Amino acid sequence: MKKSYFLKLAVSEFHVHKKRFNLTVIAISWGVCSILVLLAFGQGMKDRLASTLKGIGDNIIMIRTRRTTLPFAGLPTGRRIHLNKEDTELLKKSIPEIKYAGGAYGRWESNVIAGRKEAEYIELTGVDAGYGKVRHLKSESGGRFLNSKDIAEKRKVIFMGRKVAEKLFDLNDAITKTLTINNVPFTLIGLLEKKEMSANFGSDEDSRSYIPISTFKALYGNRHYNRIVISIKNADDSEYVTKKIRKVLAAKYRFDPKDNEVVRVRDSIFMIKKLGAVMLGFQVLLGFVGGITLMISGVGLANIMYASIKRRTREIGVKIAIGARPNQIMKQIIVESFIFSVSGGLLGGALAYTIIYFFSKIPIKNPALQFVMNARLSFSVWITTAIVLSIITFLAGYFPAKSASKQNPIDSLRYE
Amino acid sequence: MNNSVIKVNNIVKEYNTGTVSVAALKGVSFEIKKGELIAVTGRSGSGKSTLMHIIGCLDQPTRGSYFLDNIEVSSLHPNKLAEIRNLKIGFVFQSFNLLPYLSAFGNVELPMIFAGIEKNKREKRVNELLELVGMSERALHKPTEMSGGEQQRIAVARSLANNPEIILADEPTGNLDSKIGESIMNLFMKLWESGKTIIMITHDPKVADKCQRKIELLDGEIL
Ligand SMILES: Nc1ncnc2c1ncn2[C@@H]1O[C@H](COP(=O)(O)OP(=O)(O)O)[C@@H](O)[C@H]1O
Ligand SMILES: [Mg+2]
Repeated sequence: MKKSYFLKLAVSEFHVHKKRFNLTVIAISWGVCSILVLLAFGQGMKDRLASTLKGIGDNIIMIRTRRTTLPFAGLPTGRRIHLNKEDTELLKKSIPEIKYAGGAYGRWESNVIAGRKEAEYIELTGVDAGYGKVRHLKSESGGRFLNSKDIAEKRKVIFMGRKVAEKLFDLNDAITKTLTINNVPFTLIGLLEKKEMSANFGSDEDSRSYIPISTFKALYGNRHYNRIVISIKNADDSEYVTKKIRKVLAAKYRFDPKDNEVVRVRDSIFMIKKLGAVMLGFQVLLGFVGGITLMISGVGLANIMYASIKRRTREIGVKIAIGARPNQIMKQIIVESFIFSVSGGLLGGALAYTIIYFFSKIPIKNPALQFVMNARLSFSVWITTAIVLSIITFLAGYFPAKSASKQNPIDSLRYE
Repeated sequence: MNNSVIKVNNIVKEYNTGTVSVAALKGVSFEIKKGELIAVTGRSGSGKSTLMHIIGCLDQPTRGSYFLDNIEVSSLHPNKLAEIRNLKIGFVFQSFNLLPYLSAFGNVELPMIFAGIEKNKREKRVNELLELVGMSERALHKPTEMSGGEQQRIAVARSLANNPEIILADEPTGNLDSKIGESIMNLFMKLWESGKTIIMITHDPKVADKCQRKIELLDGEIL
């Protein structure tokens, strides 16, 4: 017998069992939709969190120094400690866990002009090429971060965050344009790529401008680093490395290693670990809520299917009585539940898509809300929920039908 | 070998209703030859329907044997039983048992679909049958849009779909008024004349008198 017939019969049954058909499809699509939307918001938050973590960089530890606050070996308090190039070498040499150590100069500059536009001031930072790598500073297409040649040749090139660059240029056409800082011409070689939301680790990367550390020193003659940025190989070593840094610097500059004020170490790894735990907890919660929602939908669906058993059993009895073979009955049930699944799954997906589309159109300025309202539909969640609910619907229809098709038709006809 | 289409031997049917078991048939035996017209009579509750269901392969006896064309039915595979119900026996129920969501046409067509008959042959046959039972005009109507007599005609047409040798009818006129009942009866007479074996349950002595032979039941036994 041809499959098309079962389709026809199933469709003609839907026509009469409109209520059951509608309820079933609505239940499947509602289940699919609510889980999809729920997990989409969850996924969106997770993605933001993840990109925030990525924005910080590879296991970053940042060191700044101030004045001593504890007396040490007869030396007074209030001594200013400064970091320089030797310190990066010393740290790298004495702490093998360190992958990268680089200094950074920093200053505020005004008189920044590009064509007719002028930026009131910019935060200018001098760094080496490795800094961009460990902090994940990548350019929009067409540009790049500073490289070792820029450093070696003291080139007058600049890499800018978007917030600064947009004061001076049209962002679509900024790379390779020139600007002057205090009448010194620079070429813009890269523009920080757009990120969802980068971690404000110290200050906003989008508002910074980077030039080669060598160029910086030549222009401004700074003797001291503003900070040293360290990246370590293994995140688990962060506490140990932090302690060791204090010890090494304390020995060199002769201050009390317990003086936490003089060397300020900012450990992104610690933060990442904490956020990672939050993320994991969040994921568990999402999974849990998703699971409960799925269960509720499943129970509702099974209920709908069971509610119609009496009538369906009688109808199966009639069909068997006039000569349907059990497998012909089951084929129709399979066709039917396939139609339920496909229509419910598609409808639910479309519904979720629409809801999330409308949410995405709501303009939101508040960064915390942006964090929440960043829904990401997941194809695999869609398929999974649709399949799980379809299986429940199928089983709830399949087993009663199976037993009805196996027993004597007269028992099915008598079914109350 | 003998020439009986149906042979029942000491058939017992017990229903288990919770703790007590009710014996609806208490050892019934008879034979029916090809082309006979038989009336099954007896008081309500005497086991007539139970017997018909067993003969129609809709139910199985608790004990005893039933031979259809000299083959013991209890030994048959469910698919073979389905084939018998589909091709060999046409069953007309007292309560019609039409599918409510199919039209008259669809209901009559159904047994042929299960038999795997192709579409244009089916359509031709359905039209013939609707013509035979005088329901051509109502082909597209649903059972709910028809009177009891009309529904029973459709049920008769359905029972004839695959041109079965045997027609079983459980009080086919029981739910109908006498005039309509008579037209249904005439239909059965016509079928019998065309060579079919017909067994029908009836309360109506007039109907029973038209039959060649009566099987009368009382409390699950043949009188
Ligand atoms: N499914 C059943 N469960 C229990 N008892 C039944 C069932 N079907 C029939 N009976 C009993 O079997 C007896 C015969 O019933 P039935 O064959 O329907 O008689 P009839 O058709 O002659 O009125 C009755 O006593 C009836 O109550
Ligand atoms: Mg009866």
